[in-house]
Amino acid sequence: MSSNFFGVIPQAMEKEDIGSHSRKWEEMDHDVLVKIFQCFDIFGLTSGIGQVCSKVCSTWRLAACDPLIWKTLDLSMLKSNFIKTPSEPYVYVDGPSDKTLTRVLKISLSLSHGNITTLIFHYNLFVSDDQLTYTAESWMMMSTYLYCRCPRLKRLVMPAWNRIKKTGICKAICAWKDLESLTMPSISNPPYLIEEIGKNCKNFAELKIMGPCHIFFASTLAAFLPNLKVLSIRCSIIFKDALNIILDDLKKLEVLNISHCVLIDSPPTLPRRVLGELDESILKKAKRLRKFITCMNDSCITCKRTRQDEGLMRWYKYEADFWKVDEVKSLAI
Amino acid sequence: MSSPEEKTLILKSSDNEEFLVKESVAVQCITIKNLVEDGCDLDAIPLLNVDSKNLAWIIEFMEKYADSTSTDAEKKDFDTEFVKKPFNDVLGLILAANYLNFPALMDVMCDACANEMKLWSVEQVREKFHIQNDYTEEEEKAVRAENFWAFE
Repeated sequence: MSSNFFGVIPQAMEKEDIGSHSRKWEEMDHDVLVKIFQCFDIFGLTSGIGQVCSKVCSTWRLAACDPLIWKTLDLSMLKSNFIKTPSEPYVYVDGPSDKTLTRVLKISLSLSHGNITTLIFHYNLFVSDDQLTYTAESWMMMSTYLYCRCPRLKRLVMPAWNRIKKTGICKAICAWKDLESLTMPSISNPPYLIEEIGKNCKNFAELKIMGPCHIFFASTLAAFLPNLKVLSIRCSIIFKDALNIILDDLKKLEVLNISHCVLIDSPPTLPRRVLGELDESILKKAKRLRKFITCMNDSCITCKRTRQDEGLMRWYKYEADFWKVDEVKSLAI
Repeated sequence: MSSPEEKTLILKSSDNEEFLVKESVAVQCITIKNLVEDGCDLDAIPLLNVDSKNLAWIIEFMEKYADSTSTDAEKKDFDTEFVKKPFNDVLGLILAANYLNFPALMDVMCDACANEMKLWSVEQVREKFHIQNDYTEEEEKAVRAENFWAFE
């Protein structure tokens, strides 16, 4: 039962009432199509079905470019299985590689028409030295595409960037003037980046740190991001003096999440003294916050894992999407 | 303290079949919720764009989702079975969910539809969705060639 060149189904083929069908399918309007297209992941969208959809007819083509579909570029999938599609030239034979990343990026950035507002990288993307080698050079190339093609980026999720030069990171992040939310690793020299964010990103409001929070980091935040509204430091190490600085000096802070953290007493002792609970003075200070999210529970799986990993969570040991969780909805993936 | 008798609504399909549904269940459909909140006092709520076949399924879905005792895992299992329908019926349910503004059903059905479509060609999509291609021969050629550069 094949259609002719212009896709019209011969009437005699369908037993059911064609009339009622055609009225029904007219209702398959732009908004419904967009909802369906939003279900495809980034691979589907940039190769296989996404490409198919934009060729079906003019209505579908328009729907395939709708900003709603493109506002999030979730590359965290780049570490997982790839889709093989039967129709050429949409066949992925290789595993993850720079080439694949380039292709996905080129197409997404082209089809998104500058509408990408959220960009998500996997925690392993710029860290490991195995066959998945996204190098500093890759980042330089990528960030060039990225800050030209999605200038209105509002949220960046980049949980790790060990293999990238600090200057490269700084240049890229600070080019996004509309940045409001950043998920980043813990860094040894925070002022370099944090000060630049404070200067360049006027709407910056939400920060998630996926790593230890020392007093140096906390005081840097207080100094350069006085307008910070939401802060999440979970599944990591947090020092008591850092926590005090956050509660005292981030005056505009509304939401603080320190769930599943290992809380270390200050001043530092050797060996470090882990505190099992938050004392009265901390709880009192936290009362002014709209939301203070904590979890220090022996029976909590996440707390247990953080403790087992000694505060430096080995995300690769756990479920694939475990690192994406956050008790703060806007910071979850 | 006992709660007052739970209000029941009558939903009438486009082919005039009537279905009794608890109000608390039916208001998952925002269209129905709005009607109720606006003080609709009709005996039966007519759903002109939903036939009895689809309405029966929608009510089955609504009741599962309104049930506070069903766990997320149970709902997922239910969804997996629920979407095992011929593609035409999947599309029919999407349109009905859209008309009734029922987000949970819309999500599940769109996901199922997207899953089904993943490996289709342009021709297959046109056939299954009963789409008339409105491109001229030249436009068709140009559109097909797009983004080819990205694949080297």
